[in-house]
Amino acid sequence: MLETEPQLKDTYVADGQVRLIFKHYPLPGHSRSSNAAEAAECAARQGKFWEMKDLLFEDVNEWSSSADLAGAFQGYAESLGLDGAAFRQCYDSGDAASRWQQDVALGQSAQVTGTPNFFVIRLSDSTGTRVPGFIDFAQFQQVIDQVLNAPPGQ
Amino acid sequence: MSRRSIAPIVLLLLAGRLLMACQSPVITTPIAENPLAAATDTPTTVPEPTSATESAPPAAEPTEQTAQADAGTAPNPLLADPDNPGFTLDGSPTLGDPDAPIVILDFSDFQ
Repeated sequence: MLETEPQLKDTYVADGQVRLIFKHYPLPGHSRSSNAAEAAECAARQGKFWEMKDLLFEDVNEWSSSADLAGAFQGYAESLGLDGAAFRQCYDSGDAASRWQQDVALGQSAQVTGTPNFFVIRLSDSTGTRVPGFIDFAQFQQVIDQVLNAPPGQ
Repeated sequence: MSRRSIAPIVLLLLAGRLLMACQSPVITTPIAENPLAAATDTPTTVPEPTSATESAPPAAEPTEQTAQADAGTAPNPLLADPDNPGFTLDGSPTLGDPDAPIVILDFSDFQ
């Protein structure tokens, strides 16, 4: 969602219509994705998940080939002003693994097979739709408006 | 009738939609049932304890049967956690107004 997220934040999120939720879905062929997911969750514990997520997406070529993965992640954490030692303690403990494992289990039960997969859901009645892949902002607008204005479900 | 009992139907619908998705444009139209909500209401289909069971009312001292019944009425795990700003009830990072009517779940991979 790297391209459309800023626009969504400036519009639907800013005006209180939409709340974003991030779910980790590290694919088996991506050997370091789960490590990155844990790094993002350790940043979340210090209140900087979304900033860390953006850094990890932008810098994927850098860290994914790094000889010192934990050190690279710690560097990102510190560049965001986080406590590097606390971050590293979280990351090295592996405690954050349960976060992405829980998300993968949820995704599998919802038939997620690839990334990205989006679900746009109206909370009042769980009316929603799946977006199985990248779409641009105009398409997101269309989907959000459809879900907002769908007849009441259930 | 609990939402749980219609979950198999939802999954069938979903499977059909996935087949169609392979041949059609990316956007799908809204469906009356949300597969994800159905998924979170069926903790027995996933290997780990789900948020639905974790967020079940603490007062319950359920047998197996009532535990399953309660899962359908447990708080929606996608709601913002009032005690933990920036996270959903099931512990995922979330951004925006806790009272926003719409949520967008982003299943993503960093690599």
